[in-house]
Amino acid sequence: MEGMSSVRKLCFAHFRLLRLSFDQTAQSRTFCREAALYQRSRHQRNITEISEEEEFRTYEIPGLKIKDDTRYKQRKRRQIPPPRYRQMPIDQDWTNVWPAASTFKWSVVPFPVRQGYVETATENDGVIPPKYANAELMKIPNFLHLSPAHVKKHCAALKEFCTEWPAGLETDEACQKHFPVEVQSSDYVFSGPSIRDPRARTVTVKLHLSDLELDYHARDKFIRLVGDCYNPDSDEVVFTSERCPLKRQNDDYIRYLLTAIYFESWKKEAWEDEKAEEDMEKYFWEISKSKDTVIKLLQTTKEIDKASASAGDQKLQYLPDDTSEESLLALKEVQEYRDAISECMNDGEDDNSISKYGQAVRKLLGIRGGVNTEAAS
Amino acid sequence: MSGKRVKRYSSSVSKGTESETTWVTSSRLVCVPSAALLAFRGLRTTPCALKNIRAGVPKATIHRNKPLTYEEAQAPYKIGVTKSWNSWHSANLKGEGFDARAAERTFDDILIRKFIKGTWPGLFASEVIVKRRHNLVVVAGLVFQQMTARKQYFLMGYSEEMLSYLLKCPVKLEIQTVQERSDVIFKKI
Repeated sequence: MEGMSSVRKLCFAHFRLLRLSFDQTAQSRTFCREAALYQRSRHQRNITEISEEEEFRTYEIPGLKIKDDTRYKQRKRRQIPPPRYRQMPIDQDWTNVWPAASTFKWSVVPFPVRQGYVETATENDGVIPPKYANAELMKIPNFLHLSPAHVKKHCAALKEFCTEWPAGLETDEACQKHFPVEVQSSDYVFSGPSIRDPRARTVTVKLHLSDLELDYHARDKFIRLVGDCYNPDSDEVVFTSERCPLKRQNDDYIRYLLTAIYFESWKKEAWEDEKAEEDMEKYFWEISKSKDTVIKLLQTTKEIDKASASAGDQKLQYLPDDTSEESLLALKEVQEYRDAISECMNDGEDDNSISKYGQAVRKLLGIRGGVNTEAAS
Repeated sequence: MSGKRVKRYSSSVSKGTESETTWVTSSRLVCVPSAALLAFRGLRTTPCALKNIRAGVPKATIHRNKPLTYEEAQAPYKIGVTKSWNSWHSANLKGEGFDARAAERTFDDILIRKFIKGTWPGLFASEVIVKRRHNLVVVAGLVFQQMTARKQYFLMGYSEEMLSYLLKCPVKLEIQTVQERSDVIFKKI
């Protein structure tokens, strides 16, 4: 009861002094609103008892009187310093201002720039938005960190890590000669927390077949073994592997593959001798029926020539007395015929090869008209 | 037949616009039957108006006093034409979005945006722009100058640290301040 009576007295106390006392004790303004429930401290009670004698304090109904909020209105706006681009010297080093890749900063970039699309006069007063507070400029990547001055600095910093280009490898041909095997693999850079990329495991090895030491059989077998990996137009063998999960494993696999195929192609199995004419990859005159016919024809002609007495009646004067197969095959006319017909069969017929074939046949059979025509032409 | 009239939205067609509300008696149409069933019964229905095709396009007010930023003023189909993307990363490029990369980046972006919106409540004047370089995530945007610089620096450090722990990669906040909301207003509709 003692507390209640003192609270009632408090309600009629002098308001102004009370307010002063609250300010002194750093009380919050919530006290004024809920004065009826406030339990005073001993110090305040003493002050209040003194003021009670002078004037009654008015009772303040919470929410009725408009509160004085000048305290909030008077809060000053913070002074914003002027943007940096207004304080820049003209001859400054831009690489110090913008050292690395960064979002566009309107306060730093010294040139005026606008971005946006304005359709009518109602949009931004018909003006394209400037750089201040322009989120579009912040979105797009900029190259303010890659100015020529930046690139020059980067090059100067990287120069100490560079070595001279090795002598003797100036041209592509020299590189190809000294380093015939070319290994290709790629590393991938992308935006993400991981550095792994499944495409990085692919390894490609290229080499020219002519750089390998192969005879005809080994080369033919090599081409048959590698299948589609060989390109006959460029004489290039390309091995690509992505079957293993790691790049190093694929690289090792291709090196193993190349070695295995190389030595395998040099092997000749017993069954490879059973290869007949129809199994051949191209036309061979030596095992063709054409060879047998030509030899037989020449031998028959020589027998007829031997039977005839006079030298003037001889049909083919270039034929030697020895008509064995070896001596006939060594003849210039026969070899020309062999080359001409092989070219026709293997490389296809065209005007050049056909005329060559015709001349070889005329020479072989001693048809004078052809020879004369050739001499005349 | 009772004369009681109940306002119902036709549930099978796209809901929302006033023109598609149907006044039907409560005893008849509780839910809309299939079109085949209606045809069998000899009932005729009108096709839906399909007026709700304006996703992301804000509605204009009578007095034309609704403020819009440049971002909001451009319709979604203008992305890549008059406004650019809010998420920049290489998984959005052609042929790079395999291994659910684009999905992972999008999920991370949602997380980042939610975190930023919650950590900087009502302070962002623009959308949250998320850009990625290698494993670095750059969060950019415009912020009002309501807080003291000291508090802003604290929030920047806090956001960077927390997002770095969440995403397990370095996160950088590159924010810029604007003085007034009117600075970012592009048009009023």
